[in-house]
Amino acid sequence: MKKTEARSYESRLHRALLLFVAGFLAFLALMAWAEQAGLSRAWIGPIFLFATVMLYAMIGIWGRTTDPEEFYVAGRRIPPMYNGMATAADWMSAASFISLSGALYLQGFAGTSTQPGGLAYVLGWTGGFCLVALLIAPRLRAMRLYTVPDFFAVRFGGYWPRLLAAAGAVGCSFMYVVAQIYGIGLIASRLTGVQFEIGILLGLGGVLLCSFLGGMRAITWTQVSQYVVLLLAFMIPVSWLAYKQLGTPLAPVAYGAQLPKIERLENALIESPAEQAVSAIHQERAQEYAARLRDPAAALARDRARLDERIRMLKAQGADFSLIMQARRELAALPRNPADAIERWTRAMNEANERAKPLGGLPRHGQAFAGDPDGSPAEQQEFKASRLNFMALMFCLMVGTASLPHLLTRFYTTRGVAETRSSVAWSLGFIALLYLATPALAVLVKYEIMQGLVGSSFDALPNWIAQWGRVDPSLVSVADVNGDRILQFGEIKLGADMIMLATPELGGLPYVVSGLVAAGGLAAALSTADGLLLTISNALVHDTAPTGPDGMVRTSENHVILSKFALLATAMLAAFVAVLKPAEIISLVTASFSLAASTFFPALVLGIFWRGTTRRGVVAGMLAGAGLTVAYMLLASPALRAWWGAAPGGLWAGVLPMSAGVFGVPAGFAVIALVSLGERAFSACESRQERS
Amino acid sequence: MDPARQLDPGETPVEARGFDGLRVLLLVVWAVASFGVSWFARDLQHLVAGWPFNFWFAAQGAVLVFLAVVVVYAAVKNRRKRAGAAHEED
Repeated sequence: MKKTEARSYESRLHRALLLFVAGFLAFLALMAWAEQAGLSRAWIGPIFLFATVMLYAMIGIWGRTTDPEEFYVAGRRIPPMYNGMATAADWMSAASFISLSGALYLQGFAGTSTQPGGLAYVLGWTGGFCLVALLIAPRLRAMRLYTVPDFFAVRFGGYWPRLLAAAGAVGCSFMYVVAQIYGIGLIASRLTGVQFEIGILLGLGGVLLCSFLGGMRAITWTQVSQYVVLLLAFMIPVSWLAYKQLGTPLAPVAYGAQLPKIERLENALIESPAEQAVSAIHQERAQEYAARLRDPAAALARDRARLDERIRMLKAQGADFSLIMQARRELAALPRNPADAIERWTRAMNEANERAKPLGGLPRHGQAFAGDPDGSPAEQQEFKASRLNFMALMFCLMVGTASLPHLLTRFYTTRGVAETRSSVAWSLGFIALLYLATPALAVLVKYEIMQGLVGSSFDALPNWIAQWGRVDPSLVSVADVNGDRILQFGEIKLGADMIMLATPELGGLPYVVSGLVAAGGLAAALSTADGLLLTISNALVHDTAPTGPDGMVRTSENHVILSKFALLATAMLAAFVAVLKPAEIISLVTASFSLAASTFFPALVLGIFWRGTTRRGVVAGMLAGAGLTVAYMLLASPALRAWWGAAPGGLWAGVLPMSAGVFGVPAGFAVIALVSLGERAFSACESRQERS
Repeated sequence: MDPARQLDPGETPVEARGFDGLRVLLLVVWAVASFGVSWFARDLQHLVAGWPFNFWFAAQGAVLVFLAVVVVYAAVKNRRKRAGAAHEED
């Protein structure tokens, strides 16, 4: 009886999914036809934004609920495949969809020794699922929990383990949600031309309608539909670009042919005299900043005096008001004090130094790790540092994947443990569909830029450069550095966040595809934001409530209502932080992986697999792991070191601060084991004394 | 609603019976595919069917290996459970 019911439920779902995919494709065809018929570009973007956000909001309204079982775990009846799709959407954030192909474009195989990345992200964000499947998710599902901190309550009891877990869940999810909301603002403002801040509000409306009303149940089905949107939005431009360059739409199996070509183009660019001229100019600029930095106060005073003098001259000549205003603006834009000047000029000097390197500072695309194992001692050192940091980053991303609460709770929603195991496999399958194509996209875009864009005239630059430059100059900047009116590779500076979004325009695809890609990016950011907000609000409400004798919280409708308002408040706070545009979003996200890894992973694994783990051990281990990670991040961060006047450096074994989990995770394991063993030895000793 | 929180039959609530052979084997495969191959990536530059092996493996091969690990684990464990193996744990 139960089985046939489940089967008919599933076939209803299959029908709905097919209908949805067909409907969405029909919508795309309609938009393509409308563009042909002359629909203005100014309308296409807003229509995509509005249509998709309305769709998600409608699912949210349809799935509204106040039943705790539905709100927290979607009634525990989601079939493995659909849970896999929802998990894939939940997992693939704005960072995966928007920034990853850009990061692969900029960093190639492994990035540099000071900024590891590239394929470490692909490996880390997929490999973590092996840990989820083999060690964690099925066991948590078997315990019929509602949140990740519930595990700590049930397994260890007491007050502190659960509270620490809740604090850890809030800490690492909050930074992550800020990054998603930043992505939402970026896309919405590009799609509709409104301001960044208003873009954030538009997108936030969609998130809130969904997660506020329906909790996990609505989020699950929204995420399934968002997965469909983001998969199509990724596959259509990649296949199109591959068809254009290689004559086949199957990008992931065909892009290898472009790798040797890129290597040849890179060699040609390194040899080219025009590129060398550009890099010499960057070198000069770097030296200029270095000269200023030798006496920043005097250099700043000189700059000020020069501008004051110019304003006086202009005034005396009775020059045009706009010229005077321009000089005034320059004066106002100068650093306010020597400390500010040191910070800004150091950054500018480092950037100029970086861009003075061959290929504008980009590593060679196919080269594994920077430096050279057979070169000079400095090159060998660089190679070792680059390889070590690649591995460290990969480790933190993998272990972080297996510890992030918003991902683990997704596996609570299946019907049973066996379904959870299948569901992890489905999730990784759906994620791999995109991740196998991402390196292909980066390679195709690099070829397109090196082959098509470099060498074109400054008078005929494509439109997208100017349009993206208007959204945020840090995303695209193109300047004729050597003044020959021809674009060199060293003159282009692209931000990682715009490469995917600009791919359709770069490849000369119709504008509808641009709208679709932006809708896909929005889907990725919204789906992750939904899951994260729910996790944070549950940690704040459910995981601080008093527990019953079995260690579980008595869930009730009051908790659901409180959770909803906590969610609203968290979303507002996150939006406020995102508006401030915190500078290094990708390193903040990586840092939150490190933090999650060192807080949760040792406690979860030992709690599951070692009967001897004690409550005191877990509390001490979580504090030690998280404390060490945060301390290392603060002590080794270059910005903070400069701020309190310490000499740069201070790295342990050359590991960069964002991969601090490399130290935190083993420390967590060690402390839990030692304290647990010690406590048991102590109590065994005591009981023996009592007996004697 | 919490009275419904009884355990599914045949499942130990918290502690596992430890690591069985399958789990250990798959963890080794996972570690070799990720950390092992990456460590020696610089020495694996030779072309295989026109692709630089190290780039292909890090970009795609490893992902396929991870997928295989997860699929094999789910398939084997779920079959054992259906067969009603007495020592079934998670």
